[in-house]
Amino acid sequence: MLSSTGTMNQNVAKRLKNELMSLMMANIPGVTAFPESDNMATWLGSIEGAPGTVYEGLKYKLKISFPSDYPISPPKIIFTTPIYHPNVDQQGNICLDILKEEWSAVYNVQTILLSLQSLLGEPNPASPLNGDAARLWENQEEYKRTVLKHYSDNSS
Amino acid sequence: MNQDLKANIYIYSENYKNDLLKIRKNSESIKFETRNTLRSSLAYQRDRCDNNNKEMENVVDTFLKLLLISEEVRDHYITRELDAKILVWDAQEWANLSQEWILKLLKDFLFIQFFTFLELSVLLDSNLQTKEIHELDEKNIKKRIKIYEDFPKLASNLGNFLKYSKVNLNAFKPSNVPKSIINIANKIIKRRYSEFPERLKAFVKETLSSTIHEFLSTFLPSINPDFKAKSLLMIRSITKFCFSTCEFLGYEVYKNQAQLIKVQNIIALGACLEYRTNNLLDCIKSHKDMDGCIYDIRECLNLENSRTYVGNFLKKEQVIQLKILNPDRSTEEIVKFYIAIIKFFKNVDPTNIILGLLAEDIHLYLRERSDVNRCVVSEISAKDSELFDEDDGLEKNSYSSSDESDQEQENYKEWKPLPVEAKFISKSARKRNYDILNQLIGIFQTKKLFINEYQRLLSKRLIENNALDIFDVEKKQLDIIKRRFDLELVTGCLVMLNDISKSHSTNEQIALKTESILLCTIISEKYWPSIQSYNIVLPKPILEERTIYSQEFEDLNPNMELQWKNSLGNIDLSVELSDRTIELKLSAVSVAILYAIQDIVEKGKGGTKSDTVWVELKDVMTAIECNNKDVVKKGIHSLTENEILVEIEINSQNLVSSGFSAFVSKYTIAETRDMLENPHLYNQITERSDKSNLGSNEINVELKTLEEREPEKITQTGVYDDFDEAEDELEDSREDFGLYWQYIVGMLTNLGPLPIDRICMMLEMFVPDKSFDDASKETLKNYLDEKVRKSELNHTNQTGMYSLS
Repeated sequence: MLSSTGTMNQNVAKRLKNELMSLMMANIPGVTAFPESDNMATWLGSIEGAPGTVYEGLKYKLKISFPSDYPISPPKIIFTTPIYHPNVDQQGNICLDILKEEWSAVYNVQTILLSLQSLLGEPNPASPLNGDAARLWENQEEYKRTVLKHYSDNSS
Repeated sequence: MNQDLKANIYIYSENYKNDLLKIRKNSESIKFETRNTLRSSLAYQRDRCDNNNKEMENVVDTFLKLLLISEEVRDHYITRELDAKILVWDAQEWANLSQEWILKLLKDFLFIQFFTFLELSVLLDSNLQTKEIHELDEKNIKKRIKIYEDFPKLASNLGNFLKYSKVNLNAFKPSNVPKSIINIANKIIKRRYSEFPERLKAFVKETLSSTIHEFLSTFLPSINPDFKAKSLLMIRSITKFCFSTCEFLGYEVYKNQAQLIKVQNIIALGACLEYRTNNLLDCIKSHKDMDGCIYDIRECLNLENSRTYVGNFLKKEQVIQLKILNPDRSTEEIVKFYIAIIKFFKNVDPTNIILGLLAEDIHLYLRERSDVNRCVVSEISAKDSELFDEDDGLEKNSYSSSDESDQEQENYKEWKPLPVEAKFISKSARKRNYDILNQLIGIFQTKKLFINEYQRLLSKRLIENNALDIFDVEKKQLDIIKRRFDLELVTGCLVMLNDISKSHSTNEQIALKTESILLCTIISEKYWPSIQSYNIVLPKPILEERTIYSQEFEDLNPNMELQWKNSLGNIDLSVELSDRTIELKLSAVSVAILYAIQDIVEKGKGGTKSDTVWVELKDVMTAIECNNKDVVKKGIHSLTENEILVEIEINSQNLVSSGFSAFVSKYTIAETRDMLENPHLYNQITERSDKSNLGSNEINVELKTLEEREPEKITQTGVYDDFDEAEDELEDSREDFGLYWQYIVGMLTNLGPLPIDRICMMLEMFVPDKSFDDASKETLKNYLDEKVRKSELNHTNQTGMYSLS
């Protein structure tokens, strides 16, 4: 049996190591993550809003926790930088289908981060965690202002 | 007999009054006839007046008599007729009246007229009241409306009248006005109605306040400035008088005396507020009548909802849009205006509600302007900026809901609750500090934007001025800014100032040791915004000084390296010419140019010592190796301006074919005054033979003191003495390190600064099949230090941490 903390299944560690390498080698601008410590189960990462979206130039930090049965179960991801977004609540929990029911073992850190990056620019207002943001999304100008204000209030 | 004449005689006869009284008691038909007589008499007088302005006094005289009589006999319809005549008078007609007559009118006529109006409308209304509203026929309603409409007209007439009796206005004390008015009112109204229709209350209030307002807007702008501050008193007096009138009329609007005074105040303030608000922006902008305006508005804000009234008026009516946020105004102008507005409202409204209402619109508009950041910051940090002076009051906002409970307890008696209107602005907006600085900073969407701009301008100021001169001022400003921002944001600026003071002590240290005359501004590369500099070849003496300085500096700071910015800095020069010596301060570029031209002139002179050598711009550019034409031109310009160089334009036809413009500017050193005055005499092309008076062309530009303030970069480079040795090894493992580099960037990005050991550990752990021994660790360290040298990484010596730049 696997213990959920501390020692990690060798296979999981190996897979994460490989994922880390491909992530490092891919060197995708605006998307990055790295294990928090020698324990590979928790990674810290950050994504930058894609150019052309309201989040352009804004950087949000994330915490990725891999379960012991990764990649059978999806990793748990929360935003550690408060973000104003229809699909993210105040605690940073994210509502994204591929992290829940649509999870598949073929996904990896890189695809998750990229999905999150595109989620920033294309929220899914149908399943909001932040009703305010979902409603405001219609009014892009106001939305952008709110995002910027929220960002500068919380990141400085 | 002529009908008119008959009427005239009738009027002037002593018996008229009695007759009229008799008539009054008689039948309707006689009354009617009398009225007709009077009417035609008026028409006659009126016509005469039109033909000859001198008759005006007669007209007034007649009017007055008629009026008094009709008052006596209570014939309101005649009075009304008379009023109508006066009402059509325009300003010109008023102006034609002499002082004496104006006063007469004031006493006997206008105010009577005023009351007649009031009475008349009341009478009419009470007549109407007897019927139910739905029964009112259209004619009646129209009639009533007509009278109401005349009311403000009358008031403006009153204003006109006061306006044209200029001389007497100073003697015309505000408190005297109501007194005399009330006396008259007493006289006329005492005998009047005991009942005043209840439903007139609202109407009277409304009419009175609009009348007063009308009166004020005609009257106030024309009166003596000393008088203006008292405008409010004036309004109060007049309102009081209006209410007294109501009382006399028997209309007990407010039974309670205290309540009456309160209502009087409200009406007076309301009228005043409306008047002032209409002109507020002009007033703020022109600074005219500011005192009166401040006084009035401050008083007026005691009214309920007055703040929202002012705020919404300025906002809703697009007043601000029209007067301030106008496309044809420069951003600078708008920002200045905005500062004036903030100042004004801060002064009159400590609750900041009005500002809270206005600020957002202005901020939104300003953000649209591309140059707003620059304008705001330069306004804030302008040398004579007063914005920082007011700062001491920062924490003393009487409305602030701070936690200083001790202090609050002490002041509890003075505590006032926020006005109800506070609910119209958001809570966060309420708590904000509305001093000018904060408001201006509020224009920026994020504080970071502001700080970036501030930093950029700060660096410009520090580089362009003698940094030590402005150091104290800048420090003070920054301290204030620091209090409003997170330390993290202003770190850059703090480091910049710190660099300045550090440079100063470094300069002193080095000067002690080497007698260096160089005064450098040493700036840390990372914290300063990029500084524009051009590569030019500096004269040898400067370079020599620089080498000594660099040497000393690196001895003092072994981990640092100076990178000089050639085109910045100033030099104190003493220029010795044949007939004069000039001492001045020049920019580094100018000095380099001067030396270059001196060299060319010396060389070109060769054997024929007396010939003047002229140098072209492109030669100068080659000599100092600068390919920016404008920079060189600017440098030359300051030299010609200081009469060190002289310029001629040569019309060189032969050059046209080669694509140059027909005129080519050439420069040489102005050895003598004569050369400055007649440069063409010294041009070879003119081939003048008598060059004997040129004197010797020796020039001796001597470096006197060098005050070169050149920003240099300090790059912290850990250890790189043994860098060369490590190089070979590095070459071998370059591939691997490329791989590491991604990992290192990854960990430093996400985990923050790390020491070398931890970096090694992480790499060992996460890079497949990699382990570190001491040697490879050393190699990695060298690799990282190289990155530090390239400014891709930072290394802090104390903590041994590496971080990303």
